[in-house]
Amino acid sequence: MPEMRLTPKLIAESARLAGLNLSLERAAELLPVLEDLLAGDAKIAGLGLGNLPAVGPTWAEAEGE
Amino acid sequence: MSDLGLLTRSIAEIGRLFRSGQLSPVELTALTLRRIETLNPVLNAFITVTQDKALEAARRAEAELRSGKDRGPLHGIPIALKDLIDTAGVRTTCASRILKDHVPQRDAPMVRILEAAGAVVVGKTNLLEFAYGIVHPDYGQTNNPWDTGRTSGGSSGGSAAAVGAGLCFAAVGTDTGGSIRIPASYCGVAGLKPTYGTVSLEGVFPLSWSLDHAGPIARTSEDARLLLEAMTGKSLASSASLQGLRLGVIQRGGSEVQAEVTQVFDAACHALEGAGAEIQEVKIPDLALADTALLNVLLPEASAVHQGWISRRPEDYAPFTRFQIELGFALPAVAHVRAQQFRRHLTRQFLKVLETVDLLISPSVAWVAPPEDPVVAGDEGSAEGRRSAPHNLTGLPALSINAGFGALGLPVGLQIVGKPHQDGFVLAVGGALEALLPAAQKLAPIALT
Repeated sequence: MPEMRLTPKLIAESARLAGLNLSLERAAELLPVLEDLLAGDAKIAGLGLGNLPAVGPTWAEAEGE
Repeated sequence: MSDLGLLTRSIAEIGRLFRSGQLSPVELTALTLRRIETLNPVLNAFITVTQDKALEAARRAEAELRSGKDRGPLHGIPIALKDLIDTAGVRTTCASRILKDHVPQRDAPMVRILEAAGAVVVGKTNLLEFAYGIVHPDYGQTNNPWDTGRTSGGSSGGSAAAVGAGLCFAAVGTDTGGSIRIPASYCGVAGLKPTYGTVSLEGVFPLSWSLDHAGPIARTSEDARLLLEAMTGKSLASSASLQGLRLGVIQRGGSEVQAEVTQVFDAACHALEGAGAEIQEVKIPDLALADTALLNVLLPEASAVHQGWISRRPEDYAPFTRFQIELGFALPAVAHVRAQQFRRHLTRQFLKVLETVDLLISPSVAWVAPPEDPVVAGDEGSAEGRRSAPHNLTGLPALSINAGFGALGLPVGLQIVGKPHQDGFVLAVGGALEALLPAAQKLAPIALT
């Protein structure tokens, strides 16, 4: 995973692309929590879950093993 | 039996009194409504009390029971609904300013089913704004029946407080990261998050489609079973013996766990061993990633739900609700998808362990009821939901029952987790544990005064 360098501007831009206009001040407030979430996501990415499904009942494929 | 004593009897006991003619649904509903009038100013458990509709339903139940038409265990029983469940002609606010005047035209199917079972809906209960982790100042906190200076928990705090204080016999809550089990733990009652998909969520305002569950809150596991059976139309009867039951302990410790919670949990484990259960500590690989996974699933889903309002009416949200909705817009889509994948991975880990034990147990929450609810997307919020949220990710059934009381006399919940669709078994074991821990089954003093 590339190193995350979050800035209020980047957060505001990401939110805008997702459909929400955020001021830089409000984006700055999100930064520390978002950093934590992305750090956790990096750990999940590190599990190498490959093509494990992202939809459907959570236990369906496990029951079929 | 005093009037107040009637309000804290079991559903089965009330049913026997109805059917023997010693008590009528109208008498019980009128008594319930008077208690709500007395205690709701203190507890703030109800947003809307449906007095006229309740009395009408009670009169109907009374006439039917007298004529021999029996709709089952909930016939004539006063219950409550969390105020994000659509009720035709009755406002459904989600404890928000945005929906403060919202009056649905149709009942949620769940409501129709419960009314067809003869249940008497006495009102709509308070919750955290949109079930999203923070109190809206227009509605205020639901106070805890055990200590009105503390929260009843979130987000189904109104339902749990109403049940714990004897303002209804059972209530429907919803649970996305612990919102049934956390308030059940804080209020000393039983709350089940059923297996994912067990209860229809049509007509229930969503927080996170893939994590939301609806389920029962009641004073006992048996009463919770009766409500869930009525909600689903399915029998959940199951027997359970503690003798030889294999229980795996997870998440017993952690820096956030209060000593009094550990003491109560350990005492319950000792009692279980004394009753013949086999208890062993087990590990769920990668469970530590569940905190992040929950938020990375929940935040974007909730933000999509609120996209229209957050752009047009941001000031109408409570500040931290707004913060959390905004946060969801900034999270990359692939993080959400990876968290969804992680749910399948985590479920595999749980099911592997559940091949070696019958059920899993843990403290329901790391602490007793605090003065206020923490924000979901924060360190305290994650810690509060650390023992409940994994089961929203997996969808496994999870029940909180009261296991005892901490140093200040506040309830401490114990959580029981089973395999998919073992809801009846989980409830049966909950009932057996309640019988094993009679001192934990006492009522909040406010329910009896």
